[in-house]
Amino acid sequence: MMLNKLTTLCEQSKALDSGEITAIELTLNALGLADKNSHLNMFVALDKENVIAQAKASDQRRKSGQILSDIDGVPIAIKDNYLTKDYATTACSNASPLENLAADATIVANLRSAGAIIFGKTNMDEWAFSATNESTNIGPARNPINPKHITGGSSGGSAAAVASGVVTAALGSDTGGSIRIPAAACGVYGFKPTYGRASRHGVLPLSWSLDSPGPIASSLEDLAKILPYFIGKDEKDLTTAQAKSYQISAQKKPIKLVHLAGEGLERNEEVDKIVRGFLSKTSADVEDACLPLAKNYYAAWAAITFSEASLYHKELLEQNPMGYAPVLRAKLEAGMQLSAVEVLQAQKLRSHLMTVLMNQYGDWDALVLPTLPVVAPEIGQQWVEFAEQKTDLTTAMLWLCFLGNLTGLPTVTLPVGKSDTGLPVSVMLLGRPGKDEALLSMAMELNKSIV
Amino acid sequence: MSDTVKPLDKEQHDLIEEILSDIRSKLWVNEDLSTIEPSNIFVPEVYDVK
Repeated sequence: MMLNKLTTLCEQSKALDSGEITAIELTLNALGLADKNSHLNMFVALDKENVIAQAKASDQRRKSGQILSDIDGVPIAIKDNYLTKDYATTACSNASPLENLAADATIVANLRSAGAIIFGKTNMDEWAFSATNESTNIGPARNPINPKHITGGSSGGSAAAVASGVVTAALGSDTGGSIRIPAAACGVYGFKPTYGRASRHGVLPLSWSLDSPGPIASSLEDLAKILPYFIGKDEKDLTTAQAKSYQISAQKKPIKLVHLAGEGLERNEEVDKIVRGFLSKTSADVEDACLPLAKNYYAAWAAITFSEASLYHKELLEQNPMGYAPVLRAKLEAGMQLSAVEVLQAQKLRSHLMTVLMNQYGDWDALVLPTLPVVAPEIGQQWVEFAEQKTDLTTAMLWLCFLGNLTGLPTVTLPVGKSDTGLPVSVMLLGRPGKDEALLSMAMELNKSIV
Repeated sequence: MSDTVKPLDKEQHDLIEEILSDIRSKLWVNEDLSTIEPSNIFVPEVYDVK
């Protein structure tokens, strides 16, 4: 069995099941790839002995007919803001006081109970409060497609680990696009569940009412395989009180898409052309629409993010301000200065956005936009230009993705083409609330037009 | 606790000002939001009328 041909989680699972490979072979191969690609700076912690021990235990279970699930023995990387009992959790920050907290986040516990190999902690933006994966205490993660370019963030190490083939799935978290941005920049797949369907317990918060944990993976089918471990009730996270468990959903046809564009949702010409080209090849009914208050909604997202993050960090910021990178410290100080009235106005705009999307665009199945308005910029680049405007890198990365968080809608990103420079261009679909399974089925259907 | 806590420098103050100014300039809209209530406890499903 050629291990490098097992490029998806589904293929790895099948090969383990048929006995073509063992978990230890799969794991040693992953460790070798991690070493070979160490220049990509994907991992903040990777304990080889621990990983090998997990793989041996998986093989032992398989030999004795006691495998725990169809992902038993599959290595999965973990973003460094998920608590893990066998690794320190630092959120790639020098201020983190959590290094010795020995516990698993609910999703990590779910995966561990299923026999998945918890394969190291991945690089991320400090406390997840950026979108380029350059603001981290271990240095930027590098894009496997072109290491001169950013991975996007904040889950950049996870996306790079999948895109470089070290693992076929990794955990991310998403407050303004932090799963979808790096997945798109690195040309892999990412999914942000409906807010309230995936437990945030044990995932260090950035903004409680916007955060959503989710997977980055090598294919849409891989996302479907791993999502059941994310979705469902967890008594440790009350926002999941009404969460239904994951149920496979058949895709209805025809699919009705609303392509959001226009002022506030600009993208560069090349990205726009590739996205429109993709949409024209699908069998979906596609209607173009604008979102008149897009820039105002972005401000609302920012007000909520900054204020919630500042409250979460208030005590630590007072105790150890120098533990934060200068830019992050300034962002948190800014959040402290927003008034209650301003934050409530932001929450009003949030309600308004949902009312508009649910009532003014007809009976849509998914909203569609490019995931990013530009391809992944170079590391160290300060600005990008698109639609005749100059925008700082972080804002450009968040430009379209924040809509998924402000609405709480389930969102998936999939690569649909490449730029002239060979960098990936991706499309993002936002599904109806709570219809995560239908969204993924829809993405699989639309993806057939690429293959 | 770090030994030396430096006050915020000019660059940090400028960034704070820029962030706040950007948010505040766009939070208030020429749209009637009088019937809209803030979503303090956010449950996306309640908005779906389909």
